[in-house]
Amino acid sequence: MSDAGTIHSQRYQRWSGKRRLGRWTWAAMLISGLKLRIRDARNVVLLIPSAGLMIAAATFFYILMLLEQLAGSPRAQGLYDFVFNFLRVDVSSVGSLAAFRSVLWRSVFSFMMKIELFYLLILIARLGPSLIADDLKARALPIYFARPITPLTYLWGKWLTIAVFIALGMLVPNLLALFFGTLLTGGLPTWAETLGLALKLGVVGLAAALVGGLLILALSSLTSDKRFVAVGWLAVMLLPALAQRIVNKTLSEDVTNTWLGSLSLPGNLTILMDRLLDLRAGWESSGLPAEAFQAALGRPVDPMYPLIVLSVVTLCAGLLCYRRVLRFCRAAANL
Amino acid sequence: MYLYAAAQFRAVRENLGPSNNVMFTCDNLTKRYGRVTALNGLTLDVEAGVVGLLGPNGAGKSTLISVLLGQTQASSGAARVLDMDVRRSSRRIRRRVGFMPENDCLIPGMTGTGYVYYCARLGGLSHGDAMQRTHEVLDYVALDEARYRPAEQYSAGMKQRLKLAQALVHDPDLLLLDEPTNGMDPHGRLVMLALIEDLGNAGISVLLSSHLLPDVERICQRVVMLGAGEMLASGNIDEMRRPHPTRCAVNYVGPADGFAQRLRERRVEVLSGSNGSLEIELPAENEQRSVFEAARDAGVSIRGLHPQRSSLEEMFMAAIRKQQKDHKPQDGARQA
Repeated sequence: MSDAGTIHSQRYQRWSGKRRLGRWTWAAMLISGLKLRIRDARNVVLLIPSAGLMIAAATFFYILMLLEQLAGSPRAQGLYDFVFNFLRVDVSSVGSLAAFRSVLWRSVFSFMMKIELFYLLILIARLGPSLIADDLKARALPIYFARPITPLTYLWGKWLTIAVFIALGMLVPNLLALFFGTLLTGGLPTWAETLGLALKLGVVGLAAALVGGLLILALSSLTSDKRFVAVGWLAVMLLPALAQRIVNKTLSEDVTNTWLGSLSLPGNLTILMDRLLDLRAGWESSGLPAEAFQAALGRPVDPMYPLIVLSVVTLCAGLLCYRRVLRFCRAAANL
Repeated sequence: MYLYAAAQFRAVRENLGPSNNVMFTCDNLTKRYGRVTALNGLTLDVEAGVVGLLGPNGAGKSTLISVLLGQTQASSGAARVLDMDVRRSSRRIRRRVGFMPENDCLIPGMTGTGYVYYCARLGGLSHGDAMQRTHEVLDYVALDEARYRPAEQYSAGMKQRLKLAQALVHDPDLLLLDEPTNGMDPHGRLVMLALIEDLGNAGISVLLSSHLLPDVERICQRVVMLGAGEMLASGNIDEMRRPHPTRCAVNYVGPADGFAQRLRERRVEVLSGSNGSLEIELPAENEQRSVFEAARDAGVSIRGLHPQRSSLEEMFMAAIRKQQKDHKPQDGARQA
């Protein structure tokens, strides 16, 4: 040992344990990504509203349960007003609300998910930009690509990280609200009614995670400064929504209501969401006059437009971030 | 069925480790980035051990490392690392190779322990093994209590040792080190070199890419010199260090002043001198007779006369100059 040998008292010991081929590396990336973000108290605070959303939805179901019991009674007027204020549906003329429970719950979720989409906008703007941008800034990519990790595994791990937060902001509160709502309403028939709804909520949550997750990953792979990514994300989400207002005012309703969905991604997701929850058919079959529920329904847009827009955006975002990560992988030794 | 069996056989063979004592081989390896040729028909066999990879900026060192890790596909030619083909087995190679990049590459917000543990998990170790190895390698690189501090707060030397720890955590058979002593103070540099030397003794092959030639000279047995994507020279350092034609070291007994004076009278230049030895430059090759005549006249007795060997730096500079000289006529012809 040389004169510097005192720094380590023992020689290097070889290790004979097992090394797997990185089949679970995405799990390591996911856990590390979650830990790093949860360690910041501000991020934890930002997650609290999702619990609030869940409580709000469960409270809604509780009120609907009360309405089912008090239907027709003068004491129910305040509750009818409450429901109308939020859902824009006048259910005071419905005889048995229990018969329309399914469509009422779907309306509650449609209303809640519009708020959740706005909440996700902020949540992703806070938690997503650093996903790849921080690795670029810290030049940390060689530690991934010098190991048995493919660009796809890397992207999968990063997407899962943001997808978990998107699920925490949308899917988990919805499913928990559904669970508690079912508990409050009680009875096996309620479980049967809500099972299909849970699947639909799952599909909407997955769509939000796919579009939002891949888009923020694509933006995050473009620059090493996460502030630019956050600004880019907000611009992509909010500017088209403003443009939408102008379009709605300038184009005739015939055009906007039939084939033109929305310019904004959350707007298109909302159209698809409402279509999936089948609110229009639900209320039309309820026997209520059209004016009692018309305000609760969105524009009757052909779902093909938002479906194409969301698919194209998701595909382009996925391809962009894959190409970028592939480039980083090839240049990892030079980074 | 046959293909499956062949794949299994290949996997088993490759898991057994290098069948011979070869770190990596390149066969006419060429890598082009558009019009730029980063590696130009590189052919070499590098044996296991501690090997230096030298070359000026843009010589193709990083590209070579990238190709060896399977991150970049070569434009033509072939390369094998630890007896595995880089095209077909890049992930298997990366499982058995540790890479220490030149830059910090630390993940913000992670402690030293968290960082190395994470790297171990990325390398395919289970939770228990990763935790155990993390502490073993952090002990080895002497990041004792500092391991629980955020890595961003580390000094340059500690960051370098942390980077070595992450490269070692999965116990690789081959370590690729890119400027491991960059930014370190003299003591830290010695520590790092001692660690690398020890790793070589433990049976880990090391490819050390560095601009600090004294570091390479100190710990490497062999070197590979690259220039403009081509191999300038490679081999055992001691064998490569040619005897200098006119520069010698003289060991003698007797009065120093008189001897130096007599040497100068015979046009022998005295470069430096210390107690009982002189470094001299002869007026021409095979002019050692002048030294003995000067010694006789000065009344000193010669105990030794050794031709001096060129240093690694001199060899490197000579190789670069030779390449530039060889390329110049071609460039001129091309321009004409």
